[in-house]
Amino acid sequence: MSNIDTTTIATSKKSDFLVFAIFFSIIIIVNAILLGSGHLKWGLEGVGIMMGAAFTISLYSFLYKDNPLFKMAEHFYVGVATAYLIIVTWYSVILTDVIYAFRDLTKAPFSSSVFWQMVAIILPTLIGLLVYTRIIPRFAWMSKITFSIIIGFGSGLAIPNLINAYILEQAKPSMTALWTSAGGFEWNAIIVFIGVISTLIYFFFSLEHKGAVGATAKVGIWFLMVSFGASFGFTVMARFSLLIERVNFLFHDWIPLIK
Amino acid sequence: MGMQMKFDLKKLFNLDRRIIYLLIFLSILIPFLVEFDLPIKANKDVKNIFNKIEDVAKNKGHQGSILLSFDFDNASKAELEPMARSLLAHAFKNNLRVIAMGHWPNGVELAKSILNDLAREFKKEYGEDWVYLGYRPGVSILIINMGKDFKSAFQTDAFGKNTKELAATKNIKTINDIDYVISLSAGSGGIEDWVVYGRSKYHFELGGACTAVMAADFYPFLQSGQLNGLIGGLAGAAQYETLLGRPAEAVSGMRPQSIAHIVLIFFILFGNFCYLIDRFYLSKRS
Repeated sequence: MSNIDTTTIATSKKSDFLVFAIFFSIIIIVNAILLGSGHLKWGLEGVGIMMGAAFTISLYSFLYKDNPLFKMAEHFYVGVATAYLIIVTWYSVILTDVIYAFRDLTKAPFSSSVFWQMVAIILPTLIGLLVYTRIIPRFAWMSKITFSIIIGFGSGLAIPNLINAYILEQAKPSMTALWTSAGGFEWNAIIVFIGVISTLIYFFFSLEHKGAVGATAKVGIWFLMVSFGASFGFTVMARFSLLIERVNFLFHDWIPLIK
Repeated sequence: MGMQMKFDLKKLFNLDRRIIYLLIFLSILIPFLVEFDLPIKANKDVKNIFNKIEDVAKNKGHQGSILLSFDFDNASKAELEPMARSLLAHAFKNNLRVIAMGHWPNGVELAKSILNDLAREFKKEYGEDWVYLGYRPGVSILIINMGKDFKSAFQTDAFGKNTKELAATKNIKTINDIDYVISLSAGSGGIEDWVVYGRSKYHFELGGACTAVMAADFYPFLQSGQLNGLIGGLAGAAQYETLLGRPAEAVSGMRPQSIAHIVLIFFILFGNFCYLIDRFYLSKRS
């Protein structure tokens, strides 16, 4: 490694340490004031709020620039979320559906019904465990059995239901009357009709988009643009909502600024 | 003069994004500190969910039940928790039985704490007035199973109690015995799965509550009647709180939301204005 590289790494480590030291000093001072003033109480809830505030600020610090605080918070989040997922899965699935269920069956008088119930627990569990054969390269091929079952079963379940829900059910409102003697023109139905036809033509590439086909495809582009705009608008609203909740948390639950 | 103006516009084009972040942050913080009222009017889709719960209460009384599927976790708490609280308050206020569950393992504790809070507030008894079934894996299989045999899908609740012995669930044979199903959804394993594997197969009444990001995707389901109503994002939650006459976090969040939107619209217009002016000077120069 060259001298320049070593110097750069040393400087980076020094600046990382400085960022951590300044950040934690500020957090400790603010929390000490909040605890001293009685706004926060020392306990599970109080510590939760203090840690939540520290992690929120660490994550939002990325908006200024990438920094070690952000990375630390990110890694904490991934670790905690994974650990939590494992615990929930253990208690609500493995313990309940496999271990306890099998234990209860062993206590029951043996019959053919009990036998088949045992098979219904053991067989899927073994198939699931085959995924871990990937750890040993020699037996890794066995994991394909599990994946093929998952893919085959998943496709068989999804395809008919998706066709029903997304195509057949969705096609119905696209085929309603555009004009009725009682109500006159059905404007919503007309917009849906134009939107569906023009967007489908835009994605029809077997004909060159010229003349009438080109003009209809252009209308399709407009419908797509409106749809993207609506999605973007909703996305912005969602992101602001998350920020609003965090600002409320920081300046209400942590620092009592908002009433 | 032209060259000078173009130079200034270049500086504006290169506006540090952190200035925009700061202004957005202030546009959210300041409306929290300065209180003012904004009119909030519920739209048809939010009203449909509200009216459906009212109808169930009117026709079935305490025998009426709704199923709330908590298909979200802490990451979407900001938008979906206010909806969950309002829906629960509405059901409990009307003396309906609430059956809660979730497709998201990471949302189990969050759902439990919301349910406990509201049950305590409305003095509801566990087992009699509400039941929490917790998380079960499978999503699609689970929904299909609920439509065939509810008790085999959920033999026990989240606390290990037998669902055959709980007053709120003992008479439920299939999902069709539940008067209304609402999915509070933040992504995959939510409304979409309820529509595809539940509503389309068993034809029960389904409502949706979702994050704003997803709302646009669900409008086709409203058009086709696969969803009877939709509460979308914090704005939807605020509309529901208004209908219920119980303004809370979502209503107070509308002030910063509205101001932040105005700031963003200003920046979009400003960016476009700078772009057009720059193009105008470029074409003049060439």
